[in-house]
Amino acid sequence: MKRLILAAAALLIGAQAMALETPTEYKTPQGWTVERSTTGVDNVARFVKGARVLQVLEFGGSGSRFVAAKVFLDSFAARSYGVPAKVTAQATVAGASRKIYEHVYPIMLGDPHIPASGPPNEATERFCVVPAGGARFFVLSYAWESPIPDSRDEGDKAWAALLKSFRLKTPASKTPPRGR
Amino acid sequence: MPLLSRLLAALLLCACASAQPAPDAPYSPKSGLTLTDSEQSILAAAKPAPTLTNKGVLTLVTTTQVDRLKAKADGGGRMDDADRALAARLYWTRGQVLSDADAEFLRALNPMALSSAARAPPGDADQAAGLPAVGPPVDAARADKALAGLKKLVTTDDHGNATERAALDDAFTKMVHTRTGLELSEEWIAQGKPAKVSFEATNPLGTGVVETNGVKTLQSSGGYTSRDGSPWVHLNKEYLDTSPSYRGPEVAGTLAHELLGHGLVFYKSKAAGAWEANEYYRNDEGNAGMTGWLVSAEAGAKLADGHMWTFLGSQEAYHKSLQTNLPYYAGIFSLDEMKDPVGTLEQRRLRIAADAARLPQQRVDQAQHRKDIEHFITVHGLSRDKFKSLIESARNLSVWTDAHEKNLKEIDTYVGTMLAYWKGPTGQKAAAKMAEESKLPYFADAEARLNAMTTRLQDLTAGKKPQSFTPPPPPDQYTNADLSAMIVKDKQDHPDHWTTK
Repeated sequence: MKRLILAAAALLIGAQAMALETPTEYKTPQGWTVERSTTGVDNVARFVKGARVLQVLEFGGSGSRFVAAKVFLDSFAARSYGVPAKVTAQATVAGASRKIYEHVYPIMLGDPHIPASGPPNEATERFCVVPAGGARFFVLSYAWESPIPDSRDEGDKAWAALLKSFRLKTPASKTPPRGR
Repeated sequence: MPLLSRLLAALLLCACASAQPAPDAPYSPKSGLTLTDSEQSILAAAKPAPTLTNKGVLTLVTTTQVDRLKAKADGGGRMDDADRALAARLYWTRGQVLSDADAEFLRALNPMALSSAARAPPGDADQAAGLPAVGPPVDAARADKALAGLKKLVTTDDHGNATERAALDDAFTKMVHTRTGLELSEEWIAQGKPAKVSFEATNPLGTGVVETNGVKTLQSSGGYTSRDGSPWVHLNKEYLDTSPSYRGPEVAGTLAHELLGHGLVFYKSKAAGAWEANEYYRNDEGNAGMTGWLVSAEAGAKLADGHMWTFLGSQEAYHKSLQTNLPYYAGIFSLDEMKDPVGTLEQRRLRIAADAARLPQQRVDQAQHRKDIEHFITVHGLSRDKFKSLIESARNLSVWTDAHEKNLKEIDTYVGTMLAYWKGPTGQKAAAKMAEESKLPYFADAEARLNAMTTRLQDLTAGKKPQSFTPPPPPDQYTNADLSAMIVKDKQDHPDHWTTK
């Protein structure tokens, strides 16, 4: 396994291409912490500010945790506990109209040896799936990992900018690589 | 809201939520359904057939009351406080029998106090009725045989106490009457090894029992297994003071976690020559956790464990979450990580630092949240009393954040200690042995078994959500979902309120 690569306080500014198998380009939020990791053939770029978590995940194909987009969407990773994620919107991403899903997952869990009696606190995450050719695909996501409401627009703006700017770069693309 | 009214509201909710009659069982006055006087009158007037189920009765009395409210609204009648209170009560307590349209109608009568997000989903009758996810039935004769076989090998010490004896017998019986518990018990019998199980004072403070919503539950560790010579499962004695409906499947799950999880692996890993690596193997805990979750769920426990749901979503996320939860979990490894404990722990320290680095911004956001609440009280004139629950939650969140920061420091210190060990001569030698043992077929088998058990639990929990013993929010209190809706609306109506926030 490739080693986990993580920079605890690296700041990204402006357009950024990440070290993914499939070349991409997208805008990243300024002043957010970036964490990158690779497990097998799966890649994650994670941008964090407090409870805000923006992610670009690349899956698919042999050796991937999710060999195809449908496998991901059917998995518990994409559900609210055992219940499939809801489609809450539609957006144009990478030149096509995509479904925006929303699901929740537990956060702030306590000692695992203490039996739980109440429901866990929850993060709310929105995500969409972008095919990248063959079995490869991207999951773009934005999560608010806190039980309180977020009255600021910062996370929503970063999410909107990611969806709007995300591009798959083909070898024939005239767009020069930027910001690696 | 006056204290007495709040208490009455809480008692009403407690009564509704703690009664858990089987929805499909025939209704009788002793079913455990809590009906108001008005609902008793509706029921008496309807003269239901003797075969009416509990759910049928709930549906009848609920829809009748909703229809009355609708008729009043359609007739141009003015909704008074009593109507709105009734709508709120039905909305919060009868989600399992309300259609979406009826729920929306009730919500509309309380536009600022109710949120669609918090209502129990009408389609999930199991959850709404408090019904657990019960596993498939097992062959009773086979289970009885396994129980007898297990008791020959596993000593149970009741300290001469009849209550302990009854609880031990109940836990073993429940465990072997689940699919997973039966299969693993048969595996234990096949290996023919001894163990001991008893209730012990594992929590010296004795403060683990908490009463919520009329149900006494355990809020302390359920127990542990000592492994000197042969496994000895110490079950937390405080379980004996919890409510029987809670205790039965929960103790069965804890027993399975310790005995069929940790205990069985103790013998198997020793036999495979993998014992030392298993001491640092992260899925020793993962396997025990999965064993307990499966047996609990199959025995009918509520699906309240957030760690279980995290594991089902992503095994990696589960382990990463634990690494910033308790020091012990920050020092154990996956099979890949066993090849390089030093590098793994160094990367782990970075992630602990990254987690800590999120906290200052989270405190800023929490301060903003408190300002948001004050905005609706001071600018919009909403009652501070109705924000009491949210204000208390905000205070608790602040306390949790401070505690989490302290916890992360302790975890970092522990990882530093472990790093020093693995870098030293003893640690280097142990690391080489661990790396070698990690290649044994035993561990590949262990991973495969865990994956199969995960699939089984996913099948069992598909379509379900966490269940709990806690009541829904009091109907007079705003929820976070309500506050979210207020913010969205206020941003539309008064964007100037939010430009400088």
